[in-house]
Amino acid sequence: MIDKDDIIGNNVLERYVLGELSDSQQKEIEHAIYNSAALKAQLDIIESDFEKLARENTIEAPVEIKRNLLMITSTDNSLKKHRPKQSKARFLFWIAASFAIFLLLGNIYLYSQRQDTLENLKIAEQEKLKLNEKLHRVNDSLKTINSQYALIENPKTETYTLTGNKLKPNAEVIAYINDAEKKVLVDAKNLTQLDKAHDYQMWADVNGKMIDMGLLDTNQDLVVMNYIEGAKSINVTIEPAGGSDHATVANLVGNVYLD
Amino acid sequence: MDEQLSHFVKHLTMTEEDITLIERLKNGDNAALAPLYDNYAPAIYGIIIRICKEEHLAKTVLQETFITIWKKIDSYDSKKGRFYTWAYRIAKHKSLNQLRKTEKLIRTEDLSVYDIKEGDQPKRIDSLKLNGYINLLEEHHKKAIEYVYFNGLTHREAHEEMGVPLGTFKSYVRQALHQLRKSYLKIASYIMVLMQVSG
Repeated sequence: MIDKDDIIGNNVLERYVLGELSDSQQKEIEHAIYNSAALKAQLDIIESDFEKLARENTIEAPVEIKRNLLMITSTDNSLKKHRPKQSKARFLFWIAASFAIFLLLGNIYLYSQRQDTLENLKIAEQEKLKLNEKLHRVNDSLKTINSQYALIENPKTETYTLTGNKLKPNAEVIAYINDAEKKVLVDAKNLTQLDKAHDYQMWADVNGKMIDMGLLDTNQDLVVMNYIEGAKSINVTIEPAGGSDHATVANLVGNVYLD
Repeated sequence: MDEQLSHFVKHLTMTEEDITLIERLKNGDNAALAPLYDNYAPAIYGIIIRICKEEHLAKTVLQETFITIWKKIDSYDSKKGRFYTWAYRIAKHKSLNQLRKTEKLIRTEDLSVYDIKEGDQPKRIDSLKLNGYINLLEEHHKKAIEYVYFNGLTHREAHEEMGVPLGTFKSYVRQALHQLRKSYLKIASYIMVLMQVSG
């Protein structure tokens, strides 16, 4: 790196202006000028001095040279070419850039379309899964209903009707019992709705002992209850919500003896 | 203010017009070459003819200089210096190259085979009087500037020519420029007063 004092003491700026420096020295001094306002100011003064010196010693420039220059620069293709080439290159650059932007926008559009399609496809897949699940559920329900009706229509199935006592005089519960298949179905739709704190519970009387058969859901057409072997009668009581371990006989709403 | 003085004043700094012309040239507008030639060719030609010392050669170099300016204008960077300095360097190098080529030709060719009539002899200009404030300098200062600026010699060549140490020669150049600067400042102040009075 050239030292600033060295630049001034060795007439480096003067020699730079006069074109006496080597290419590497010239680059080095140009770098120094770029980075030092003081050096640039000093250079300006020296350049100005030399230019004034030349302006005091002008010689009339030949007019024919000016004419030649204008003719040569406007007709010589090798001289003209380098500029149009640049503008052509710039023109081509802008065409290429525009094309690239167009492609990019097109790709973005196609990508977003593809994303939308994928999203729609995903939604359709989810809908399909939901429908399949629904279909499975309907099939299962159908199977259940079919099997329940098959059971009801089975000749070996006995039908028993429980009628309400004083507590629920209008109550009616129909029980379908098949001993061969050890299945019990109950239609409890005709039971009046209870408050949220209570449920109907069904019991089987086996040798004087009430065995739990399950809770009665009054909202369903048919309710599957536990089959209890050796039951003499079936009974319905009102119990706290969720059912009890032991039947509350005082809350008995109806019963029927089995054959 | 006389015409010569007005021309001198106009070029104390690079004008807006010059900046526009250079920009036009960079954009490939060759018509900008004509006014730029009017503004700079007289000063550049003054240098070329003093280095070449021969009119025909000097005209060739002047034309080549401006063709190079046209071709290489994109490489001109105003941050690196004035347009005049850039053009001066091109002109100086072209002049010295032409001189070397001519000297080589004279050394290698047997000119006696050509029938050179007296009228065909190139017109030699051995010395062109220097004008302006340089004439107010002390003789050794004037000579130092003449060698490096108007004759195209390097500092090393010029100090040998003058027969003084290189360090002394460098001081001559610096001192000469300092003296010239003082004179130019004086004239600048004079011009400002003149402008205020006439305004």
